[in-house]
This record gives sequence, C-alpha cells and structure tokens, in this order.
Amino acid sequence: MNNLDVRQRKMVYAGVALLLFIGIIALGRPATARPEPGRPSNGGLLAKSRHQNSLGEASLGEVDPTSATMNLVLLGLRGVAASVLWQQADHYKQRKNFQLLEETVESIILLQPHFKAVWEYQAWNLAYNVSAECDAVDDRYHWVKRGAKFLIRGTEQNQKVPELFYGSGWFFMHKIGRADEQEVFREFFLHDPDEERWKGGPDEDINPEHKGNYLVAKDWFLKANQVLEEPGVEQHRMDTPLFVAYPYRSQIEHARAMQKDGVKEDISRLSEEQREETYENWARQTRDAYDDAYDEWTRIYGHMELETSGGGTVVLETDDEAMNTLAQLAEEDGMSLEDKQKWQENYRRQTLYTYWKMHCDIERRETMMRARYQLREGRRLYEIQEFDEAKIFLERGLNDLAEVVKLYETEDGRNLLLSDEDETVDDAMKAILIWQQVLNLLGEPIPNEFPLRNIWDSEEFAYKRSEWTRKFAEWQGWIETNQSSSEGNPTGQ
Amino acid sequence: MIHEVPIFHVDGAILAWAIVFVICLAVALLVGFVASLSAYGLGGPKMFVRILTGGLRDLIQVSPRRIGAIATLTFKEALRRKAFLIGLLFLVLFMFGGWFLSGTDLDKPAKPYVAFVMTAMSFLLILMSLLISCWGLPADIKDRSLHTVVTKPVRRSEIVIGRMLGYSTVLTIILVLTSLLGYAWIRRQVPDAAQNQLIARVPVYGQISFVDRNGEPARSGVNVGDIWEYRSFIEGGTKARAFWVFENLNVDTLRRAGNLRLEQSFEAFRTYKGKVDEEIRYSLWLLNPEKDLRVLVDRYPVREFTTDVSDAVVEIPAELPSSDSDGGTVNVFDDLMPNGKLVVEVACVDEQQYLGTAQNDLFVRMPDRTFLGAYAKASIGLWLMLVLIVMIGTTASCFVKGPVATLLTATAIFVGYVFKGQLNEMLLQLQSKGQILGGGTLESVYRIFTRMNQTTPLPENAGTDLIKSLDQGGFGMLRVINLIMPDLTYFNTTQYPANGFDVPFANVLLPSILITLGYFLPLVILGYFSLQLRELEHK
Repeated sequence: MNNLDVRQRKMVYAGVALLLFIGIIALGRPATARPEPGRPSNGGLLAKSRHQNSLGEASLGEVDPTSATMNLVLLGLRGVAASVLWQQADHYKQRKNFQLLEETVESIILLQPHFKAVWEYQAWNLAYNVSAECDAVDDRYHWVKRGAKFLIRGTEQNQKVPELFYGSGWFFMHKIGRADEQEVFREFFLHDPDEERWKGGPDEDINPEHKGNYLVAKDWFLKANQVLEEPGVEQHRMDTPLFVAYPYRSQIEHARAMQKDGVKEDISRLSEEQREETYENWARQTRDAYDDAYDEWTRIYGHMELETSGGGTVVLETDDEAMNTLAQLAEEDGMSLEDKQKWQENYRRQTLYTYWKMHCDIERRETMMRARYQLREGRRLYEIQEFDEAKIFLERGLNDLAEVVKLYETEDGRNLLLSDEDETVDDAMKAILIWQQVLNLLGEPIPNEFPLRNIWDSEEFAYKRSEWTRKFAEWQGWIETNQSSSEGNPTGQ
Repeated sequence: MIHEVPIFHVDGAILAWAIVFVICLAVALLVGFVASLSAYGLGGPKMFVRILTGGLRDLIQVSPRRIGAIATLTFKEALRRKAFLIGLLFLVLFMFGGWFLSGTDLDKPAKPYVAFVMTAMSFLLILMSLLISCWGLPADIKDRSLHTVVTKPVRRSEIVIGRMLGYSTVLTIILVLTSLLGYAWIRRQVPDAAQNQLIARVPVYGQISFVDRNGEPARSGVNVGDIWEYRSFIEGGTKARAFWVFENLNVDTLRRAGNLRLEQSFEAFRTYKGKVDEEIRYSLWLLNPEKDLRVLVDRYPVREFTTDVSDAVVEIPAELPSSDSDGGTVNVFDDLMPNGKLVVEVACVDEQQYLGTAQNDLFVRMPDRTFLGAYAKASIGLWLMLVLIVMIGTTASCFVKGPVATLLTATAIFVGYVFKGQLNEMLLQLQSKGQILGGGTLESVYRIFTRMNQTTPLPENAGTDLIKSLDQGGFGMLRVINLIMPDLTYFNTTQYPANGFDVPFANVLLPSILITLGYFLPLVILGYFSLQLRELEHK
C-alpha cells in the first residue's frame, strides 16, 4: 500500500467499500413489504432468517415504536441500560418507592419488550410483593391489578409466548382466588373499590365481561392453550398435559367457589318461600357449574391428545372412544397398547384426572346439592337458635350426604369419596358436631345410630374429630380462641 | 416521601471553604514559585512577583462593560452554533414523553410526570452546559478568533468572567423556556385524579424519640427485619411509643389557618394476619409536659403507602375535648404549643402488631404553597448547578483542549452528583471505623483474585501491610477530592416537587447558592492564570 499514490489508494478504498457494501446488502437488506404467509421473505439473508424463525418485531406481537426507538438510540448499550434499571428497580422496591419501581419496570420493558422473564418477574413483583407491603386491602388489590394489567400488556407484545397468557390466568385464579384476602379480592373483582371510576362494576381493564375471577382465568388459560397450538410455539413452564389442563381446572375452581360462597343474599330478611327459592337457585347454578366442569374435564380435556415426556401421545379418558384413540396412538407411536396404557395411567395420576373427575361427579349430584343446602340451612338456624328446625335440616342433610357417600363404596370395603374428598369429611364432622349440640340444647340424647356415624367413629379420621371438636369449642367460647388461627369459626361462615 | 432533608451548617461551610481556599492558594503559589525558578533560574522570582501583581490587578480592576461585551459575544457565538436547538430536542422529548409514561393510564400518580420533566431537563441541560462551556474557548483558540480579542484592551480575567456570564445567559434562557414547556406538559399530562397531588407542602420536621414496651426510654423501636433500616417499629397494645418534638413552630400562621395539620407516612407490620379488611391503627396524642397535659386526638388507620396525600393528613381542630372527665376543652395553640413547641405521642393500637416510624414520617404541615412556586424553586436549583458547571467547564477550557476539558468537567459532575454520596459514606466509615468495608482499591483487587469476601480479615503479612499502606494513600486522595469537588447533591431538587413538597430554602437553595458563589472566585483565579500563562499559538 505504501507504494501506491493517493489516487491509487483511493481506488483501493473504493473497491473495498463496494465489496463490503455488496456483502451488507446480501446480509442485511430489509424486507420491502411483509410477505404473505407461506411465501419467502424478499429481504436479505438476515431478514429471511428473521421471517423463517418468526423473530421480527411484527411477528412477535404488537410493535411499540418507543421501544424500537429506544433500542436504536442506545446502540449496543441496551444490555447495560437494562441491567442498571434492574438494579434501580430493586433499590426502589427496597426503599418502598413503589411508584418509581413501576416506572423503572416500564423503562425495562421498553428496552426488553420480548424478554418474557421481565414481564413475568416484574408483574409478579407488583402483584405479590408490592401488594403484600400495603396494609389496606383496597391498596393491596390495586397492586394486584397493576401486576395483572402489566402482564396483560406483556401478552399483547408477545403473542407467541403461552407462559404470559398462562401467567395472566394464574393471577386471576391464584392471586385473586387463593390469597388470604380472597373473599374481599373476589368481591372487588366484581365490584371494584374505585366506585367513582367503575360505577360499582368491575375494573373493565381486567374484567371487561363482568365475570367471576375463575372464569376470567379460564379465558386466559384457553388463550394460552390456543397460542401453544400454533406451529413452532413451545412452553417451558411445566409438562404440557398439566399446562393445558388449567382452563378446565379453572371451571372446577369456579364451581367450587360457588359452592363454598353459598347464598350471598342476606336471607334473614327473606320469607321462607323466598329463602327456599334463593337456595334452589344457588343449588341449581352450582350444579350447572359442576356439570360444565365435569363435561369439560372428561369430554374435552379427557379426549385431548397430550404429548407426554417419553410415552408419545396419550388421552386421559378411559371410555370406549378414548380407548380406541389410545389404541390408534399406540400404533402410530409404534408402542404396544399395554405400554401406552401405562403411560396413560402415569399421566392420569400426575394430572389428578380421576380425582377431579370424581369430585365433579359427586358435586353435580342432585342429592349432594340437596345435602349441602340442608346442612347450610341447619347451621343458619342453629345460629339464630331455631333448634327444632335446625335439627330437622341437619338430619336431612346428614342423611343425604350419607347416601352420596355410600355410592362410592368399593367392593374391597374402601370408600373413594372418603379417601379423596377431605373437605366433604370436614363438612360431615362440622355438621355432626352442630347436630349433637342441637340435641344437647333440646335435651335429647344422642342416638346410637346416626347418619355418617362410620366417619365420626373412624380411627382414620380421629384427628379430624378432635381438631373440629376443639375448634367448635373455641367458636362457642367454651375455650380460649387461638388468635393466630384463621379458622375460628368451625362452620366456615 | 422525602426520607432525608440535607443538613447544611452555613458557619461551618464558610469556615471550611476559607481553609481549603487558603491551602489551595498556598499550594498554587508554591508550585508557581518553584516552576518559575525551574524555568527562568534566578530571574524566576522576579517574574513570579510580576505575574502575581499583574494578576492581582487584572482580577480586581475588571470592567463590567468589557465583561458585558465578552458575554454578548459569547451569547452570539452560541446562537450561531445553534445551541438553542436543544430546546427543540426537549420539545420532541415531551411530545413522546407520554409514550414513556403510558399516558392513558388513569391510575398513575403525578410523581412520575414531574420526575420525568425534571430529570429530562437536568440530563439535557447538564449535557449542553458541559459541551458549550468546554468547547467554546478551545475552538476560539484553534480558529484564532481569540487572538483578535486578546489584542484588544481587555483583561484575560474579563474574558473568563465574560465567557462564564455569556454561557450562563444562554442556559438561563433555555432553562426558562424548557421549564415553562415542562410545566405546561405536567399540567396537561397528569391525570385528573392526580392533579390534586400537584401541591407544595411545607413541612416542619421534628426530633423523634422512643419509649419501649415497658415505658422505658429507648434509643430506637424494634427491628422487624426489614432490609431497609429507615424505620423502627413500636409494638401495639403496650407502652411502646414514638414521640416527636417540633420546635419554633409559627403558631400565629397555624392559628390563622384555623387548625393544626399533621401528616404521616407510617408503615404497618403485622405479626399475624388479623382481619384482612381492617387496617392497623395508630393513636395520636398531643402533650404539654409543662402543664402536664396529655390530650388524645383520635385513632386513625395507617393508610400505608397511600398515593392520595389527603389520606395521610390528620387535621386537628383548634379546640380538643379535654381528657379530664369535666367535659372541658383544650385549645391546641394556647395550651399545647407553648413557645412554638409541640410534642406529639404516637402508639400502635392493635395488639401484637407493629407501627413503623422514622423521624421524617410525621411532620407539621404548614399552609401549602403553590406547585408552580416549588417547581420554579426546583428549576432555580437546576439553574445554579448549570451555572456551576459552566464555571468549571470554562475554567477547564482555559488550560486544556476541548475533549480533555469535557472529560475533566464530566468527572467533576460525576463525582459531585453521582459519586458524592458513596464518597461521603466511605469517608464516614473511615472516620468512624478506621477502615472501609472491603478496603481500598488494592485490597479489593486482592480480595477479588483470592475470592475473599468483604468481611473476612486479611491475612497478616508484609504483602497485605503494603497493600493497606498504599490504600491509605488512595484514601488521602479521596479526602482531597472530597474537599475540592463541589457537592452537587444539594442541587438535586427533583424529589421535592415530584413528591409534592416545597423546596426548602435553608437546606437546599441556600447551600446551592453558597456553593456556586464559593467556586466562583477560585475558578476565576484559576482560569485567569491558566489563560494568562497559556501559549495561545500552541493549538
């Protein structure tokens, strides 16, 4: 080069520049238009690869122009900036400066809009950690909503990440439905505490259709399943058969919640006929919810072809249609039907398929619904000291419950309901305790034989008997209440 | 919430300034004298005295008219270099600022909007002040336009001061414009529900003290294991109390307002779940130990971390029912605030639950001032910082070229603005414990390579002794830097309007003014001599 004169050197530089230019065009030429599905991208090598692997901004979700600009402005320092912001977010959280924490999180997602961990971690941070810091329950709910809204925005920008859709569903199912504040949160979910803005209805940003929290969760889980069905999309949260069960689990949880909530109206103001009608409505709606749950669990989820980790594809139901499908799947996967059935059994256990199926089956029975109504009414009458009436309702309820329990006896002397349905055993114990107290108050002896005596006397449930007897005594004020216990009232009301 | 209001002792600060100034002056004279000796031999002292007396004359006999002329020239030059384009950039930032703050979010409080404006203004204008002040003089020297100036009957001290004044004027105009734009943007963008957060509360903070669960005086409350040890907690249903003593309250102003407003930002800590839909409560008493008066005001829910300021305010009427059974009343201003002194007692009502308190968690809220006023004061704080940066940048550009001057000034900003807190903390550790956690630079390197954590003592040997001694030298340097570099943390006024507080004059604005003035003279002297001794032909 040193021997070349200025003109020659310039020519060499121009030649090199031209070569590099051609290389850059071949590699980085952007697609001039969005190619139609199935047709190759017309851009350079990188654009084609981006298109093939669905890595383009537009194919990942909604494009945020601010975010794209930010990344451009920062050149290669995006990672550094994001790290600094993470530290700052942690600092703000530690200093309980939650507004600035939220702002910092917003800045992080501008830099990393397609990094699912940011959405998941920070949404969790807001909904679980920040909300727990607040003492007022409406403030806590405010932060749960902020977390949920944040994650919903994450789903809009990342339409091919099923975990974010699942996470949104989980917030509504778990954080709203299972928190210590569940009763208040579920109520707020239908009637937001910000009455001025939402006019007594729910926050429509998270609950536009005014549904219960479990049904909203179900919608999100369904969306997660839909996303998972798209080609090339994977989820890495849990085994897929468990992941896709959540919409149907939400329906079951919805029915369970309806049953646990009981009648929400103030029935003390109602006449006997109105009360009867209210109870019947509640019983019917709950049974319908359980019917739907049973139907979806067995007909949809039970017949879904699920990818296992090692055993190919299975279905979980065991009716004729499902077994035919299983035989076909065994053939397709080159396995014996026997081996396939082993995998099926494994996954039935792993997903608690049989348990939930039986649970829905029990709860959707007319007799079970009637039993629950009778026992609830009996407890109410006991509380208002209508002991004669209470006795009648409690005995009817116990008889109905005994009838259902009997249906699940097996030939080897076991009872499937009693071995699996802990809550029903608890309900039976509570009802017997109240009924015995009613008899005491009426001055009547406790008969030798009474419905569900087998549960009451069972060695297997002796610990439950003593535990509920103690709690009943606490509730009645016979012994001092343990303050830290959340179950001061054995009737659960 | 403002967790810490900086403390500034005017007398101590002026004394410290005088000592550092005299030492720096002595060192500079010594260095100058030695340099003159080495450069001119025996004729050096004569030259030294000549330059010194000439310098003294140039510094004292400055002409405001000539300074004004230089400043005007500087202003015109900045105008020609399109310095005002920064205003346009700011406008663009505001146009898109709503995107950053998800403008449609109606739940958002006012704080992020105010913080955004103040931070954006600081960031852009600091950058601008850095660039225009550091590159002006070197550019003039490079294209020789300064030669035409220095050949005129103008003193070089006037060039330095005129430059500082000119750049400050440019920045002042831009700051005023951007501040106005920023204010309008805040008013427009902040959601309606949060407009009431745009206020300027005037707090009077008190002194906190504690009493433990047995009623004995305690140094602090209980530590509940919070990582942030800002608050200490008092136990509910016991004799544990937190007391605040407020002195020198302006009782007449409060009397005119008709009530006494206290505002709190307590924290609740539950040891058991309790009733989830009921908040932890605290009770509040007012005391007059001289009259042996103790009056219960009421019991209130904690309203922890509320964004609605009005939730955290306790309004106490002028007349309170007396605690005696006679049914009489007590006048808050006459009976409970002797000589402007107020004592407040706070307890946690709920048994086995805790109330977190810190000194600044309870304050007397004097009548509010306007948000515009607080915003203007915050802008003045920023303006003072910009002026100081201009002064440093101009001085630096008198003895080094543009890029180096920029680097030097940027370092001064970084140390004074970002690193000053850590620096103070380290020197405080050094003063109180004789060492810094993890040691100095060499010790840190040693620990990194030997994978030793910060708290493990170093092995005793000659090598580690050497490391420690060398690190002591580094600490000495840090002390010198701490004394010389300006503390720009006082100038950071963003948190006040962002949190709905007025900018306190004595704790924030006065220190900023004094620091800016304090650096003016030394920087002019340094700039003057640098320019005087600089070989202008040497570009």
